[in-house]
Amino acid sequence: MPHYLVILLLAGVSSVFVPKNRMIYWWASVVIASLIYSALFLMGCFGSNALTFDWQAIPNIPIAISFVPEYFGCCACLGVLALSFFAVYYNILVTKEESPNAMNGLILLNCVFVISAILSPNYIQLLAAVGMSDVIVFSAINQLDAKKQYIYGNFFADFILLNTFALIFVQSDSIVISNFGDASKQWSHRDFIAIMLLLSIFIKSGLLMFHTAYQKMSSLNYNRLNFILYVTTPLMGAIIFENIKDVFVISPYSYPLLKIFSVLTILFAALGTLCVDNIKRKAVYLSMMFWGLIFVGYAWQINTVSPKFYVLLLSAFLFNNSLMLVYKAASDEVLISRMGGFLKSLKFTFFINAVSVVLYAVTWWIYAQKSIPYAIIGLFVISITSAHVFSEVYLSQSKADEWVLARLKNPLFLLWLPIILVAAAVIYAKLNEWQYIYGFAVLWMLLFIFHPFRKLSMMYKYDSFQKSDKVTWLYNFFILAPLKFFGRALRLIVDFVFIEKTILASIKSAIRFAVFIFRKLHGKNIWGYMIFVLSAVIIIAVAYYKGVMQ
Amino acid sequence: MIENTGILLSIIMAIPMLGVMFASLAKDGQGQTIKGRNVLSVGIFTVLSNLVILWITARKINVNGTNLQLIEKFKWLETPNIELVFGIDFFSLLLIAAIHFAVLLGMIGVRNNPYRQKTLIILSLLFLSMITGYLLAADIFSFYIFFEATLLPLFMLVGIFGDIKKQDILYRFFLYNLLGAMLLFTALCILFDNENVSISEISRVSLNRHIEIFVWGAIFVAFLSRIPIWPFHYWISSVNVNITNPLVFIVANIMPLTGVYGLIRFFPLTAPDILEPYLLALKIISITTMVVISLIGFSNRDIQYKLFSYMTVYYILYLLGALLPTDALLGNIGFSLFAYLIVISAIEIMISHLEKEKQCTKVGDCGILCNIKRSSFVLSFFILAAVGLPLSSLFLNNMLIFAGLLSYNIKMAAFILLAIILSSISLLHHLFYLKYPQEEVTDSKDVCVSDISMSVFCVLIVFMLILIASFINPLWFME
Repeated sequence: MPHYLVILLLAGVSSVFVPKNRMIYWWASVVIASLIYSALFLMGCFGSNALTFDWQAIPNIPIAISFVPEYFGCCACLGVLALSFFAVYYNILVTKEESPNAMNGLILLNCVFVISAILSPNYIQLLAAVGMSDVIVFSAINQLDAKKQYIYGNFFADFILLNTFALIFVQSDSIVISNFGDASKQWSHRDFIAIMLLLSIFIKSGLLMFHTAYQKMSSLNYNRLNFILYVTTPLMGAIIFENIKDVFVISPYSYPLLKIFSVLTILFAALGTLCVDNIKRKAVYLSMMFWGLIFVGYAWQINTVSPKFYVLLLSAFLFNNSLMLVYKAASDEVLISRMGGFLKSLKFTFFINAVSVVLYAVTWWIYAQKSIPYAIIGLFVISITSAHVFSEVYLSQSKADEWVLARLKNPLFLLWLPIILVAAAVIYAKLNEWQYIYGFAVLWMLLFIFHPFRKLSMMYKYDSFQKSDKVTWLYNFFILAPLKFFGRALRLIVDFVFIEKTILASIKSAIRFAVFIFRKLHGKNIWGYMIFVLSAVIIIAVAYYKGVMQ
Repeated sequence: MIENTGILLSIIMAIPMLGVMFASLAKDGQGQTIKGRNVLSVGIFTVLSNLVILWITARKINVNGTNLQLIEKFKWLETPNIELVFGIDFFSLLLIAAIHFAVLLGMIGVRNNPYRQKTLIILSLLFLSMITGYLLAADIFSFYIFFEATLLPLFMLVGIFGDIKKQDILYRFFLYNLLGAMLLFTALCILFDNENVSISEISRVSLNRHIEIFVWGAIFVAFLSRIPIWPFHYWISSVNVNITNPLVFIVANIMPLTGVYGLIRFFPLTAPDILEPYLLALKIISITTMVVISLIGFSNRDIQYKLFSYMTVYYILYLLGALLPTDALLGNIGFSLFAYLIVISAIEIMISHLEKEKQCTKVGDCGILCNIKRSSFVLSFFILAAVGLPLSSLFLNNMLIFAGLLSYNIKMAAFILLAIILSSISLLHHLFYLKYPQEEVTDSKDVCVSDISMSVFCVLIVFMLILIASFINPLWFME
């Protein structure tokens, strides 16, 4: 393994095992130093062959793992390092994290495996990185329901991925991803392979029908939640797609399926953002919408691999973190229905929120501008949802209690500093592309001021809607319950009725009957004696007859 | 076979017997304080010593060699001509090492067992010696002797440490194994034919068509009687569900390995063509069993049954992998089985610890892991490794086995994968059941449940590291 990853790994493992709150800043500086060192190293080692190694994970298959960063790989890795840096930053400086050292360690470990996945030239490295990242995220989720849903879904996704790659392996006899292109046309079960791979990616990225695990995470600490939503498994889904996208052309079903799921995801997530009361759940829906938008780009084959994606990802991450400013300013109040009219007291916070929206919109434009309709749809969805949320918070009639209102104050500069810095950097780098989002700014302001979806806030009152989890119910009703029923019925029929009451009971009865007969024959009875003698005569006769015949 | 001289294999078989001797002389810890656990120390020392010898053996054999190596022969009788032959290949070595690790974990699991510990350790070491002999046997005579000899200690262990239903269990145990023993004995008597035959040469024994079908059919059923394939699963499931002693549970669960190993040694490349339809029947029955048992395990609340269901599914998976018309997967099956036995044993000792705590504190086991962090961490790790996340050699080696099965018959493989998913999810489900404090057990935090001791935690960490090492490089111990 290259030494920068080893350093990340060691720093991560040691940070995980440091007792909870001991020397937080010292360990955080070690973690940040390892991230900075890795970033500097990556910038100076394009295409270095020294970063390819033989891995003996399976003795009968030579696996060459590679950490060679080409231009895109290097930019992607730098993006992941930057995201990890900000996750560590928020973790240490601003949030009330339960065990910051362990969380920092998990952020670093996740970073190692995401980088491994990005740079993987073969699917064994990809599979291992994806699986390890799942274990890391599983450890990072400190809410049991979310943990459960997460591991069920991701175990299933990993299992599908593993077996689909196994099916590919037996047909292509190669583990190298770049060989997929032409070879894939000769494979059998092409539809099955494509659909299974897509299913796995959908689960990982939390698209519609597979989003419940992320929904359950809304009780997590805000920073932990944002880290998981943007830097871990959903990102892995996108990385898997990027790595193996050549495979999807083999089936006529893959792109239509991708289109259906991604569009429905955007619609569902946008609706969720508008109707859900809890600000953390809104954050989850916003991330779901983000991944839906990304997959729409994949579905219509608009986006190519580019470093812009990671800048967009960072902006989306910071935008979600800007929601935290509201939450923090309102003394950790999570319900939007208990906010409103905050503009008077939180002008600066509103300014930061607006900057984060602009940053998100600019980076989206830069990312999606190859297809103007795609870019406009994205801007439209972003503006509707973000304007609605901030309008609810800042402009609508105040429903906050007096205690919250009295304690309203703009957050510390450490909280908003990253947003301002990144926005400044993006504006500086892409100054000439500013002009394209004037339209967006106008639209956003109109939506913000006139608040056209204000009627949807009546949904906040319906507890059954706010807490409903229909997808889990559907899984339970249509999959789990029938399986459990079959299991119980089979146990009753196979084990109890057939084996216990039929086979074993028959053997027992036969033995009992034989004992009974022999006991009768051994009794002081002339008939028993006669039967014994007669059976001996029959045996002799049969033996004699057989012998003569032969 | 490669002729070789040496006594390593004899030593590997003899050390557990020496352990039995020393353990029978050692003081029993019964009725004494926990510090007087001489017998347990003898047991652990014996297993560790044998692991060292196994490591030395591993360094002497050719990892890629397909034939048995380090052959040792012992002339026993002139008439009939009986020569006992022992040999080892890398596959057997991995299995022997895994069984040693599993028994070691079992011994750690019974460290506080006050009930007849001396008997427990002696019988376990006896079992270890017998099964080692079985895995090293290279001729049909010694193979048969050790195949049957493994039953004796297990029969006694179940008899002594089984619960109130043990008479019923022993009845089933006896019935099914008697059938297997009789059939194997008859088949091997026919194959013996005045001269001992090595296992690799069995297919060269000329038999007429009907006898051939009978012999192979008998061998078939004999080995199947040890594997939880329908309808033979019933005695094994009864043993599993009704035994709470972790060491006995582990020993009982190594028993199906003898059947799988027997089929692996006898069948893949030596089975005559005449058996092809029967092999197909076996595959169908195996897959049906996998699905049925996994469904039952999925709906069952008892963790012992869930564990049994998981083990059954994986044993049959390895069996089906071994029955594929290639021997290329044998190494992968060995690496997977190595991790699998360790994982299962570790889960069992954790479950047994929790069961004991449940009985001591008289609370339900729902949410029992909430306040015992070490146990929670260890159990989570081993269950995640068991379901196939990249924490052990199960992950990638299973992938190749799946690849083999998928290439052979994708529809059959789909059912196998379904069974694996169900059995894995039922394990995960139980993990969360143990972690999740339900509302009705509101005062679970007030109940003082003991965590595993620091020393046991450290030992389990070592086993975790072994598993991780086996993921990074399954040949880690050869480096």
